[in-house]
Amino acid sequence: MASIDINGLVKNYHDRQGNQTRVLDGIDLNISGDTFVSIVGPSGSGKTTLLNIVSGIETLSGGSVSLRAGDRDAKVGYVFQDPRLLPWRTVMQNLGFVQHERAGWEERARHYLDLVGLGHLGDRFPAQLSGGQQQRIGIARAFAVEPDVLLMDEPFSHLDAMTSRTMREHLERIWLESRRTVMFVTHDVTEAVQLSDRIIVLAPGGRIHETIEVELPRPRRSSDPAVAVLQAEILARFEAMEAAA
Amino acid sequence: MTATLAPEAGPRPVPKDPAGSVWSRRGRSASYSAAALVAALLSMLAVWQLASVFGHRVPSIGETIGRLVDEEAGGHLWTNLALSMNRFVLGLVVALVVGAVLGVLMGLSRVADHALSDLTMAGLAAPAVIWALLTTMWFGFGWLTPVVTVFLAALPFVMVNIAKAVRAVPADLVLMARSFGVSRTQVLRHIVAPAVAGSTVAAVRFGIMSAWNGLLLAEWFGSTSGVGWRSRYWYDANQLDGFLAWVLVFIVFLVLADQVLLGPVERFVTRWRTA
Repeated sequence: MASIDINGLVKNYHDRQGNQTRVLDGIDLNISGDTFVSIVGPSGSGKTTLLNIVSGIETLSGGSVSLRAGDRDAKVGYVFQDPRLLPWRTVMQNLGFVQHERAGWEERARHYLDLVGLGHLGDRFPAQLSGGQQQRIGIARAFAVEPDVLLMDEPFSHLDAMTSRTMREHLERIWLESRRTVMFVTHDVTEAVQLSDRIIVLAPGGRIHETIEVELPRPRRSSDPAVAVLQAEILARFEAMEAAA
Repeated sequence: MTATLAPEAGPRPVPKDPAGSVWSRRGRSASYSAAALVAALLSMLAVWQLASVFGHRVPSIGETIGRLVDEEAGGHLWTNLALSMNRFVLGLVVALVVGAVLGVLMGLSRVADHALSDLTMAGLAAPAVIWALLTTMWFGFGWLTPVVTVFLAALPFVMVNIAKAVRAVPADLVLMARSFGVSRTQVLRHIVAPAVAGSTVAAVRFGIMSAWNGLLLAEWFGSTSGVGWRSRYWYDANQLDGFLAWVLVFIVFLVLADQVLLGPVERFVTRWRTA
């Protein structure tokens, strides 16, 4: 079972004049088991920075981050805002690249391409696909490494509303089939309510403002009345937080 | 109320047989290129023939080719061509290696870029004849003069193009690979190499053109053998057919290097753009 342990995480940036800006301020967070956790918050609250530090792309200024799967380091899969596919490799080759082409990679790649409904496009180059399809390939790629921890950074923010809704349904279905520990950054409260077991609200300045447990039955639809009620409640709390700030 | 259900945007329209269509498109494109090349060649030959009929002291195509056949019979053609090629390849290989190292440095380090960019610009602006004259004065009549000229003429083109290519390596793809734990070797092989391949071919192409110019001039001024020296031999003898015969060799080499060697390599490394 995988776990993400974040203790007293601090991240500072320094500009050329040496001025320091704190973007994450003492984050304490524990995610364990096959939990889907969303991080929401206004722009500049440090959501993407938090995800980049957890993935190891960025360094931290203080505190600690630990990703474990039993007695070993957890394997990580990452879905970015943009698909970030290698344009000179076919879809299948893109999925093989991140799996280090280890035994059985083709089988895994085909399985997850089928799950996102694109099994027939394995020999295409990314430029031959639509934006939504490229993002689905990005999701299949992250699942194909069979990660213990899946990190997702606003993966549907560049898509239109219809495609985004379909993608959320794809994601929830795949996640229900192959449970993982997921850390999902979004600015869309509907998305967070539909997908998450827990929602972490970050406040400006990079502090945790509130943690909300979502105990709604799955699978969920954005049109479900319960989803709409919770979404309205969270938005009201957001407004209160901004008014207080 | 009526409602129309629209499926999610599908793949860009691709014919039923993508492989067949790609090949037929490539075949069509190759046919157009070949036709354009033949048309250009025929026009050039026609203008040449007209110039020889109506112009003053312009040898005909037949006279020029005849002189080239005589050069071959006298053992001058292949010997001088081989000597020039030897010097050319040696100077160009050294320029490619040194230029690639310095280009990568310029692409990665702001300090190296500031230190070398003005020198590179000066190198790009300097005509090959300057290098040919300088090396002749430095090294006299020997193999070093054409080899060093080739090196100096090609180097700045290689540096500039490689530096540009290194700066253009997509950082977001490198970060993506890092987040998935892909090794540095794999990143170099599957991200950096394909990203710089197109500009590297451009570097070699410009390098070849500039280096071949430099070689001919260096052999013209500072050698007693090679294509450049043989061209000068006929120039000094005031024999235009001999001079033009060697100019023809010079042009044929450049066209062959571009069309037969670099063209297919460039199409191969950038095939994903037109797939």
